Amino acid sequence: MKSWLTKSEPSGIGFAVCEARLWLWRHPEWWSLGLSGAAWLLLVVPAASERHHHVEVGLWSSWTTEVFHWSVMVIAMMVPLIVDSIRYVAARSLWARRHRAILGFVAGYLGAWLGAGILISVALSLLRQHVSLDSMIMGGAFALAAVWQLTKAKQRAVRSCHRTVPLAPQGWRADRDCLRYGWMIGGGCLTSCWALMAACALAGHSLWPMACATLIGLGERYSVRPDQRVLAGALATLAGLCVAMALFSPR
Amino acid sequence: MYLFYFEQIVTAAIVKLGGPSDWALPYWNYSDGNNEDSRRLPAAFIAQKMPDGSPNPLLVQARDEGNNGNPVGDAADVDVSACLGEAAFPAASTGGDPGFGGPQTTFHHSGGVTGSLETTPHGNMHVAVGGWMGAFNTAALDPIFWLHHANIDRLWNVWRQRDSKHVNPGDSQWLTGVAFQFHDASGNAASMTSGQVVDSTASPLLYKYEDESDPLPQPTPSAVPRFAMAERPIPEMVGASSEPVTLTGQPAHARMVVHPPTGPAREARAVGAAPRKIYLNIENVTGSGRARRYSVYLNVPEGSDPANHAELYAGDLPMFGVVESSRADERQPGTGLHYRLDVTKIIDALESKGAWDPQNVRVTFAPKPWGSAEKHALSAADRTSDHEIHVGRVSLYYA
Repeated sequence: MKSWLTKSEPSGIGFAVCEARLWLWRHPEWWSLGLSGAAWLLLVVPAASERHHHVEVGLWSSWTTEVFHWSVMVIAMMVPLIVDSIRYVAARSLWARRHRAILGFVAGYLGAWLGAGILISVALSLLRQHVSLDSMIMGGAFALAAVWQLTKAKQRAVRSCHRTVPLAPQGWRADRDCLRYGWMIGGGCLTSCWALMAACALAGHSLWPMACATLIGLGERYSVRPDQRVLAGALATLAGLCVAMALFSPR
Repeated sequence: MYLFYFEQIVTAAIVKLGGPSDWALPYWNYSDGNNEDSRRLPAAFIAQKMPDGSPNPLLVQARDEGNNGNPVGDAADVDVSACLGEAAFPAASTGGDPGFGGPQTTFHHSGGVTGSLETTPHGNMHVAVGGWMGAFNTAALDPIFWLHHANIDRLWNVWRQRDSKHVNPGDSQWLTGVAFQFHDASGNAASMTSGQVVDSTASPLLYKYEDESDPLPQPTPSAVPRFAMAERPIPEMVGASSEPVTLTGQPAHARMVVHPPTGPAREARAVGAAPRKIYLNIENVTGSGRARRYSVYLNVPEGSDPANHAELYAGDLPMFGVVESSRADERQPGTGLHYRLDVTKIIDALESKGAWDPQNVRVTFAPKPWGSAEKHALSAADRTSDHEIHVGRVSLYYA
């Protein structure tokens, strides 16, 4: 059967190209998810991780590296959580400028996170100068995230991540609106996920806490009726694992 | 399913009082074209006294319309042609058709558009009756609510029966993913899933409506689904307004420029995939107080009364739930209501007359009158002025 737009029968390269193009049309978020995938790759590369753990050459160098890792972590973990908003921005824009609209939205969104990242990175760098951020502290941070998960303020914030706003159709107003919308959603996500992300940053942007936290975030965003107690329980388990590591790992 | 338990509870009370055990919840068919009184509230709901002289519990003084025996709303409020004409149950993706039942949502309902049935007649009649019926949190306090919703359920059956392609979603998440909680006639906790009630003729519902006839002419070939559900066209936005519009109970206008399609709509036309459909989207409708209903018209000439241009009428905005959906809290983001109106016929007609100017498209919001005779239940502020309603944007989509 031919699809609603394909000219050719379901065989041959022409059909495959047409179907691929249709898929990309239906999923304008493809490149932002690609960006997220690239960020995960960057985190997986052991050299990146090792370099991070050996930055102790000075406060300036330390916090700029921290900001870099924070940014990579945000792109990796948070972009998959805003797929609905990215699709919304694309669908509410003129066809010719929908990827430009997404770019503006993502820039605004990451801008909000970057602002927070700079503050957190400076704080973490200062802390690292004086305190050893061990697994016990990580456990405390994830426990705080578990408590935050059960608050009404957190629920309000996660709903605000799904806000929609009218976007001007063209011109500088359209760019401004997309940027502003991204900033607004970024602010909502920041309020919603600050504890989780701060815990991941305290964990030195290690892969396994980030992977677990991402799964929890995805479960919250894409479940029909997410059970906050289950999500808080998962975070508490994460906290427990950190504490266990602190207690039982060889010194 | 809440009607099922309500019916159970009322039946138990009736039997206890010596009434029939086969009592059934009636429906209010306000769209019955063969009954000129169809929009009047049933007599039992407006009588001042019971036969024994005691106050009538079915009479709610707070109603805006109907208590004086006059018809509730107007013909457009009960027009079922748009909802019964929908080809699919779920809405298309952003901008496209609203579907019979509305969009598939996750927990947040962000940007959720109201489905065609939910808009008209459902929302219209809620707001037209008004009073308790006009707000989410109080609607079920008016006994007419239950008859109204029994009719909405009946219309679902009518829609399913009028075309073999009109089918419910088969998604397991929709059918069994959520167990809704109730109390039965014995006061015991009970739960039910959507999958248990999609066939109203089967157990446990076993409903048999008196009239399930199709009130519309049979679908013409162009009205049947133009595509398999998995292959619905990608809606393409071709124009939108740049500024919000504030509605204050007076006619208001929004303007937009419509651009030639450059994406899927252009290609669909090039390959002759399907007749185009055009949807007017009314986005981010918010308000903080009781709102009246608005009718929407396309390209009414300047200075002309929209009521004299039935050919340019696009549909109604019932505004049911506008206050609740505008409130940001831990349940929803507060982005307001979203409507999609099919304006294909209007634009086709304007084009065929050479009267369609894509550079100057004008959307008119015309307020519908409030019930005048029975506004006694409204607050002083409600009586003297309309609460402002904000329309974030209007946009046009080819699909």
